[in-house]
Parts: sequence; C-alpha cells; structure tokens
Amino acid sequence: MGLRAEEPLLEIKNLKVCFNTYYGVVKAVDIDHLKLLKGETLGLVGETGCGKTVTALTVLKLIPSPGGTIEDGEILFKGENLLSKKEAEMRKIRGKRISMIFQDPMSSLNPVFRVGDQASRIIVLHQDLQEKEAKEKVLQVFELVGLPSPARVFESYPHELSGGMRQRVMISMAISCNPDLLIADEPTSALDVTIQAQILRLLKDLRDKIGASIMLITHDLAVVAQICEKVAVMYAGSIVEFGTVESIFSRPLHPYTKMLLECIPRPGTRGRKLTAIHGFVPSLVDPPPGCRFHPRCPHVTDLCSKSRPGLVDLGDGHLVSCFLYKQGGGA
Amino acid sequence: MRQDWNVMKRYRERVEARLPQVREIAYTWPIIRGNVLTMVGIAIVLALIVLGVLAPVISPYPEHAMGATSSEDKFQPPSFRHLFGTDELGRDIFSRVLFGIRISFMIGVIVIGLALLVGLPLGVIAGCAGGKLDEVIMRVTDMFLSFPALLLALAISAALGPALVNSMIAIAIAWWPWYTRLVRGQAVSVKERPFVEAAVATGVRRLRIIFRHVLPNCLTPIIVQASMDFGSVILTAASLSFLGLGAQPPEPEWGLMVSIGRNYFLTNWWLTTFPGFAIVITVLAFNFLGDGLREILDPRARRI
Amino acid sequence: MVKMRYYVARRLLLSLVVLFGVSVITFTIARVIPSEPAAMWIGFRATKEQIEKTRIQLGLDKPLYVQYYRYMLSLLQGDWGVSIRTHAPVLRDIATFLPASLELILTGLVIALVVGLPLGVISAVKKNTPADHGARLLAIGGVSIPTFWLGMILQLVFFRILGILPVAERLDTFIELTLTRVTGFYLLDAVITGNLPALQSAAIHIILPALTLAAYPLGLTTRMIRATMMEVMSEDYIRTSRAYGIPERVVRYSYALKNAVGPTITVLPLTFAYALVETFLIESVFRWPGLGRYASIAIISADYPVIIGVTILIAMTYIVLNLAADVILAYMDPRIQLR
Repeated sequence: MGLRAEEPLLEIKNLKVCFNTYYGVVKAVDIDHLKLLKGETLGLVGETGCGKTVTALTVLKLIPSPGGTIEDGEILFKGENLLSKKEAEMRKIRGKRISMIFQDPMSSLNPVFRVGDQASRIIVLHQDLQEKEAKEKVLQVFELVGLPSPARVFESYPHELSGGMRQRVMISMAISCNPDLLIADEPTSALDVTIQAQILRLLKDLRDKIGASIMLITHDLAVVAQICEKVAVMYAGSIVEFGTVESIFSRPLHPYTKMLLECIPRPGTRGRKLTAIHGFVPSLVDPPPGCRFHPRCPHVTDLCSKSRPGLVDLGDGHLVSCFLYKQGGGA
Repeated sequence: MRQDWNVMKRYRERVEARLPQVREIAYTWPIIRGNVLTMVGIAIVLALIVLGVLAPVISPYPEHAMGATSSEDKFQPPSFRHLFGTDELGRDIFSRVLFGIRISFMIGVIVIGLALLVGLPLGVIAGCAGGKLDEVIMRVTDMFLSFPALLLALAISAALGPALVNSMIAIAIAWWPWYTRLVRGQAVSVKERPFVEAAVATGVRRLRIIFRHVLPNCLTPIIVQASMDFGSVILTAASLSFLGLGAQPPEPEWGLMVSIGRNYFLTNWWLTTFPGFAIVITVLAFNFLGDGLREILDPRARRI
Repeated sequence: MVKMRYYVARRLLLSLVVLFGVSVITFTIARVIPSEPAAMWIGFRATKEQIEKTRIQLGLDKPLYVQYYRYMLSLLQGDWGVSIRTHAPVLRDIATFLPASLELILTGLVIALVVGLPLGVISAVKKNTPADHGARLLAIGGVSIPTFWLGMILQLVFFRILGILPVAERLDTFIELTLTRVTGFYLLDAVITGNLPALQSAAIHIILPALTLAAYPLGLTTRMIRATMMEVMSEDYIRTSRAYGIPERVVRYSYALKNAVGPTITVLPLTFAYALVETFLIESVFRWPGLGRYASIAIISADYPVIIGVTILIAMTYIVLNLAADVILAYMDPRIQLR
C-alpha cells in the first residue's frame, strides 16, 4: 500500500491503556494523538514511568493479557488499525514490518542460545529462507552494524559479548527483515557514554542508508537533540507537547517541557544550584483530576484541575496540551 | 535504682527484638487469608490437632489404642460400630488412628525440636564467627547433607535398634544440617546490620550478641521451613516404622499399622487403607501450608 | 576441553573427602553400637568359646581404628567383606541384586520425567486454569503420598479388584525359567533374546512398582518445572522473542524450556537417591528381588558388612550422580564458568 507524502506511517489516536494491579487500576496511557511520518525519526521523551514503553509495546500488541487492557483507541500503521488485528496477523508484522529494540540487551537476548542462531531464526521465520542463506544474511547485517569479526560473533553467546556489541546484535536483528518502522526503547540507557555515542551514530547511519523510520524512546534530552527530527514529550501517560526538535528546544511551550530543559546542567553555570522540578510524579492509580501536571505547575489556574486540555495545534505543527495556549497560536 | 534501669532496658530490648516479627505477622495475615491453599492447610492441621487432643474423649474404644485387644471382633469390615473396621487383634482402627494423630504430631515436634536445638546454634555460630570455624562446621554439615535424609535416618536407626525413640533421634540427626545451612546464610547477612555493630561497639559479649541479637532476626525463614518439614518428618517416621525400625507394637502409629496390616490387606483392605489415608491427609495439609506460605513470601507472586 | 578436565578432577577429589567422612561415620555407627556380630555369624546357639573364637577370627577384638583401616584396605582391593547372614561376598550379592533395583528405578524415573515435564510446562503456561489446578493437585499428591501405601493401594485396585496386573515379583515363575540373563535388566534381556512372552511378563510385572516409584519424582518434577517456567516466561528475552513474531509454541517449548530445565537436572541426582531409598520400601511391598530388599533384611539382622557396603555404594552413586548433574548443567547453560 503506497503512502502519500503527508500520510503518516504510524498514527495513534485516542489510545487508553490500563493495568489491573493489586493496588488498583493503573491508567498508564492516555494519548490523544501522535503521528510519525515515513523516514522520520521521532523522539518520545519523558521521565521513567510516564508510559513511553507501554505505548511502544501497545503498538506491537505485546501488552500482557490478564492484567493489561487496551481500553480504547486506534493505532494506524500504513492505514490499517493494528488494534483490530488478530494475534496471527500481528505475528507476521512483528519483526518483519515493525521491529523493536529493547533497553537492556543483556536480559533481552536468550542466554542459552547462540546469538547468531537467534538472529537467523528470525530471518528463517519471516523470509522463508533456508538456514544457510539466513546465516549469510545475518553475517551481512552484522557487518552492516559494525560488528568486528561477524563470524565469531555469530557463534558467541550473549554473555560473551560486550554491552555495545550486544546492542549492535539487537539492532541487526531488528533491521534484518527490512522493517518499515523501528521502535528503539532506550537503546543506550544501559550502556556507558562512549558506547552510547557509537550506537547513536550507528542509528543515524542506518537511517540514512536504509531510510528507516525510527521511534526513539528515551528520557535523555541530549539523545533526542542528537538524532531526532521531531519530539513528543510525555508526562504521566499523555503527550503534553509535540513538535520539531528546533521548535521544542528553542521555544518550549508547555511548563513541563520548559522545566525539563531548565534541569539540564549547562557548562558555564558553575556555582549555581541545580534546578529540579518540585513535587513527585503522580500515582497513575489515582491521577490528579484535569491536567495531570497541574499540582506541580507554576502557572496553574482553576481550570486546570477541572478538565484536561486537549492537544491544540499552534499552526506550525507545534502541538501543546495546556490551557495557556489556544488553537492557532497566541497565549 | 540502677537495677530498675537494667530491668526496663532488658524488657525493651526483648520487645524490640520481637517487634519485627509481630509487625511482619500483622502485615501478612490478610494475604494469608486470601490464599485458598494455605487456608485449607491450616484448617486441616487445626482439625487434626483438635481431634488428637480430644482422642481419649471421642474415640469409641480408647482402650484399643493402649494395648487392649478383643479377639472375638477380629477383622470386622467398616460398620457403624467400627467406623474403620477392626484389625487382626480385634482393635477398633478408628480409635487407633485418632490416637495415632498424637504420636505423629509428637514425633514431628520432637524431631524438629531436636534438629533445631542442634542446627540453629551451630548455624548461627558458623555464620557469625566466619573463618576457620565457619569452614569446619559447614564442611561437616555438607557431609551430612550429601546423603538423602531417609537413607541417613535409615542407617542410624538400624544401628541404634528398632524403637520409636531411636527413630526420632535418627531422623533428627539426618535433619539438623538443613537448618544449620539455612540459619548460617541468614546470619551472614544479619550480622552486617547496624544494630549488631552497635551492640559490638557497646561491648556486649560476643556470645550474647549471637544468641540475643542475631538469632531472633534469622528466625522467619526457619519458621517457614520447619512448618513445611513437619509433613516430611511424619512421612519419614512412618516409612521407618513400616520397615520395622520405628514404633513397635502395640503403639498405634500409622506406619506401623500399615506395615502389620500388609499381611492381611488383600482380603481385609481396611487394615491399611485408613491409617495410610491419615498419613496422606496430614502430609498434604502441611504441604498445602508450606506451598501457600512460599507463594505468599515470594514478592513476585502478587496477584495482578 | 581442558577446563572441563580440571573441574571434574577437582570435584572428584572433594568427593573422595566426603566419601571418607561418610565411611568413617557409617563404620563407627555399625561397629560401636551393638548386637553381637560374632554370635550372628555362627548362629545364636553357639557356645561362649565358639563366639569368642569367631570374634578373634573376624578381627573384632582389635581396636576400632585398626578394624576401620583393615576394612578400608580390603575395600579398595575389591573385597567388601562377607555377609554375616548369607556368608557370601558382599560385592557378589550386590552385583546380583543391583540390576533388579536399577531397572525399577530407571523405569520409574523415565515415567516421572516423561509425564512430569510436559505437565509442568502446561501448568505454568496455562496458569490458574483447571488444567493448572489439576496438575498441581497431582503433583502435590505425588510428594505427599507414602510410597509403601501407594503401592499397596495399587495392588488392591489392580490385582485384587480389577485382576489385571500381578501383585509381586518380576516374572511369572514358569517364564522365569525361559529367560536367559544378559544384562540383568529383564526388559532388555527379553528384547535381546527375542523372548516375547518374557517381555510381556516383565512389562506387566514392572508397571505397578514403577508407577509407585514414579509418584514422588513426578510430583517434584512437575513442581520444579512449573516454578522455573513461570520465572522464565516473565523474563525479558521471552518478550523479545514474542516481539519478533516467534510462534507461542516455539517460545514455550524451545526458548523458555531450555532455560527452565536447569534446576530440574540439578535435582535429578537427589531424586535418584531418593528413589534408591524408596526401593527399600517398594521392593518390600512388591517382593521385588533387588538391593533394597537385600539391604532391608541386612538392617533387621544387623548384618554389618552388608550395611556398610550398601551405604558406601549408595554414597558413591550419589556423589557420582551429583557430579554428572553438574557437568551436564555446565554443558547446557553456557553461562556457568568452570572455575
């Protein structure tokens, strides 16, 4: 199915995901609207626990079933609603048209199987190749992601590789079947800084080489600045701001985004106290009424605790969910 | 005046030492109540205890459990007069099974008590002392542990001669290493806690620290394990009796009853079925209890 | 694999130390604590002088450590003493009776594993469904039921009531005469010599005792697999394999199970040793002519060379099995470093 230039590759509408736990019903995700265009790199940013990973898992319908329920909404992938698909159909999509890279490559790879076997299994499954041909392809992809001596890596077990190499293996598994969409969930958080830079460079390379569309989930704004084109800021399960990296970083609108950017320590500000956002992330079992950020917001008004602001478009593709702003621009 | 101070202090110490356990119990009780398995186990165990305590009162023929026989009533099948039938000496099996509860529970308590008596001090000393002493104690423990419990109990029981007391000693000897190992593991981590450091710093004697400070805090897993072991101990004792090494006639011990009944059971099935069934129910109850406890204590098993 | 060799050697050395300790304990117990072995030897109606002579003859008048030393020496040379009751060399007796017990144990264990593994997997995967509850009930029953009682109930039901299976022994008496012994494993021997009626007879005779034996290992296996599978299934790498579209059946029986079998294998020697001890009881109930029965009789008649010999044999077996389990585990889980 061909895509027109403006038609989004992935579109999430009105998504609500809840979890039944011992402590109550956790309303984990409540997203009005999120779009990703073909060839784009979108960063999904937020604190730990704000619902980014759940959103990603929901795209692949990997939410554990007794426990998590997708209450409402649509996830349109190339126009088709993924949430209405049956499990068997989803299996054909996972790994083949949408791939996911997980946060901790050590625990995400099966420890008792060789890394190469795990990778070729996927190719055999999705591309109907024989084992030998699959192995060839795996070695090719290993080289593509910059793994030294691919043949040796093929024969290795996960615990025999370094963190950076493991992540490269995961990335190669993800791209091996040429997916349309790559979801990377905190791909660098478990790695040290130098390796982080390498992996990010790799992702940029791949994006340029094979034209992948990437949804990058992270809590690190620096990562977003390096590699993403668009950014969506999440707080307590909802998107509070969305726009291009330039406009978000230079002209943050939502109070939360503003404070996030202020929290980043800058060189040349030695001696100044570090800024932090006071208060705590709200409980998602009993979220604050209205706008979920209002208890911590310095610009809070009466309206904020009564109803939730929807995402308004300020005209240039910059969206904000806050009563301070009205449709079409202006504060 | 100074004596009052000390008395108060000691009292407070003791309460403080118990408080963590009390708090733990208060916190976990509602969870226990929600777990069907554990509740069934507890219910059965309590029922058994009540039946056992009341055995002299509720059994129709208590004298049969104490050695009396009734030769005209040999081999009666189950009836209203004899709920479980009668055995080869005309004794009412129902009464004997009831009295058997007392014996089995007594065995459980004594064996585990003995095992704890030996195992706990050794384990906590090993854990706290460390170094050579720890090594030696643990090597000896490992040596005992390298045998399956039943086999060791068998061998020792055989060497000591066939008697109920001997079998209890034998099982206790086979059992203590498990507690030693368990306690040692706990002690090793408890001794690092600040209040132990504080006690050392204030000059409390080492032995006192070990037994008054460290040991009480190691007890929770021990209590759990001991309650789970109750069933296994009873099973082991019954097995030994079956082989002729434990209880001797005319004691109404279940394993012994099954063993003697074996000679006749193909034509008189009630001789072995009921005592054996009693064993099954008892062991099952403790296993339910233990399983349930383990599920509760596993933090990952929170209901979602 | 050089590493493997060092590992095995080190473990064997440690095992020898343990074996030494075990032999000392057993020997001391069997000698220090009573019954008059000499009297047993020549029969209880002997006179005092005869008993005294026998004592000297058997070396029982020497101090304990000398006796121990001599015993260990002869043990290492292959002389395991002579049974006081049968007057036959202990080693020969053991060799005669061992295959019967082994056949029983192996059959029982195979049944336990073949049934227990899938049961445990299903129970873990279909958690909290009737299938799970049924499997758990079966498992907990298996570990709670006294083996000797189970054996008798089975005899009652299948022999007395239903009349379809025999009650005891290994073979029908007439068929027994027709079977040539090759390995001592009657099932195997019947197959090897192409003796069909013997095969059938051996099979129906072994079912009940094997089932009885299998009860506890079955329960244990099911519970272990269930516990480990539940843990494994919640691991990240299982989520990854699902994220790549791997079909659920493959995820369970390949990706997950390979991780889950570890603890079960470690427990296998324990289970085998347990089974070995259980045969004491089972062979008694089914009149199975194996090591268990031989040893039970020795125990009751205070036949100390046999008691010590069998104990040491079982200890050795247990140690070797433990070692084997560790080695297998090391092969299966590549993470274990052979230090």
